[in-house]
Amino acid sequence: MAETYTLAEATMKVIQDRRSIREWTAEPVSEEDIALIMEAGRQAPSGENAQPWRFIIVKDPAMRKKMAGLAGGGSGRRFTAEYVTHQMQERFAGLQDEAKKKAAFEKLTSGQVSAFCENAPLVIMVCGKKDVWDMPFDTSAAIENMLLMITALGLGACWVIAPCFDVRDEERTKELLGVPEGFKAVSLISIGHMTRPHRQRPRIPINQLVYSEKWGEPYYKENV
Amino acid sequence: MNKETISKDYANDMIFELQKAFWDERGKGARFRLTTLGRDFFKTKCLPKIQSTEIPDMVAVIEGVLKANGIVAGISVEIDGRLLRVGIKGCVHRPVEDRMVAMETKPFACLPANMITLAIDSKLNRPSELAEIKLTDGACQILIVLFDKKPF
Repeated sequence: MAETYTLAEATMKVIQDRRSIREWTAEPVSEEDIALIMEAGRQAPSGENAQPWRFIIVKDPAMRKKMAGLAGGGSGRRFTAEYVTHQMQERFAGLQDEAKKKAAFEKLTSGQVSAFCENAPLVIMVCGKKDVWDMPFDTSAAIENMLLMITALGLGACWVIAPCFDVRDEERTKELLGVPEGFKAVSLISIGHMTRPHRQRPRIPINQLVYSEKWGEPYYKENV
Repeated sequence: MNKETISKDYANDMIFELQKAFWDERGKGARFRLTTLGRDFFKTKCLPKIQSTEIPDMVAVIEGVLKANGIVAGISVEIDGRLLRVGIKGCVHRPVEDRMVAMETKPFACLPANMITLAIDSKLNRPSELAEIKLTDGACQILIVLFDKKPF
């Protein structure tokens, strides 16, 4: 029997069920689902209703492979720099399992951590018009809207900034996809059908996040 | 080149304030938005003079150009596997880095280092990454990581 939810409960369930999914089956995403995902993005709020977002739907495997290469290359360089300066080792100091630690370092420094979009049946490149007031915020709102719709549809996705993070990679991404100068390549979203359910990642307790009236005084005295 | 000069303090104040603006907006991500800073200077002043594909030779050319333009007093390079350890002495932009440290922020942009990574990209078609900028008395110690190839 289907569970029933109030609108607020259903909304919170979608928010809490969202995961960063990096493994998919080969099953394509249907056009009906793509239409709902794009409509969710289109309905996002934007400063002065500027709607600066533009979306490029990428299904071509050769193109996805190149995008994955750019994402993995950017992440690999960034994390290798962290590794050689021992910042990564400091970040993982609490992880006692040496094998897990080694695997994590390998995944990060090789760039594999961001190179998975090759395997996603659907990639959406999110671009933003520069000549508006609030483009980074507007496009981020559109991305989150899409991620929530993707979750509601029972699909899995990951928001990937890696191919646009370093200006050198962003330039190559824009060239690859023909994005004009007046637009920024913001992020890609890798989407598909999940291979397996994923656990929720830890969250900072709410009483450490919310202050009362001014910075510092917790709004909640205990975690709620 | 326009030979009229402006105050170094003024120029460095502007560079610092611009870098701080990037930091305030992007935090740790700011460094990755400044990786091509100096590209026009590199393309017009350094790249035409670089003939060799050996890194020490490329660095020597960059050093010569930067010295001739009064930007650095000297650059040394030591290759340690995939790591380049670069020493930059007497850099005109050092006050920018000192102000970064004074506000408890690790320096995250270095124009001479960018010249080297741009040269590696242009002449060797290899990616590289500025990993660290350490400040010592009268010099900056730069760590650059070399990678084998671009993704395509």
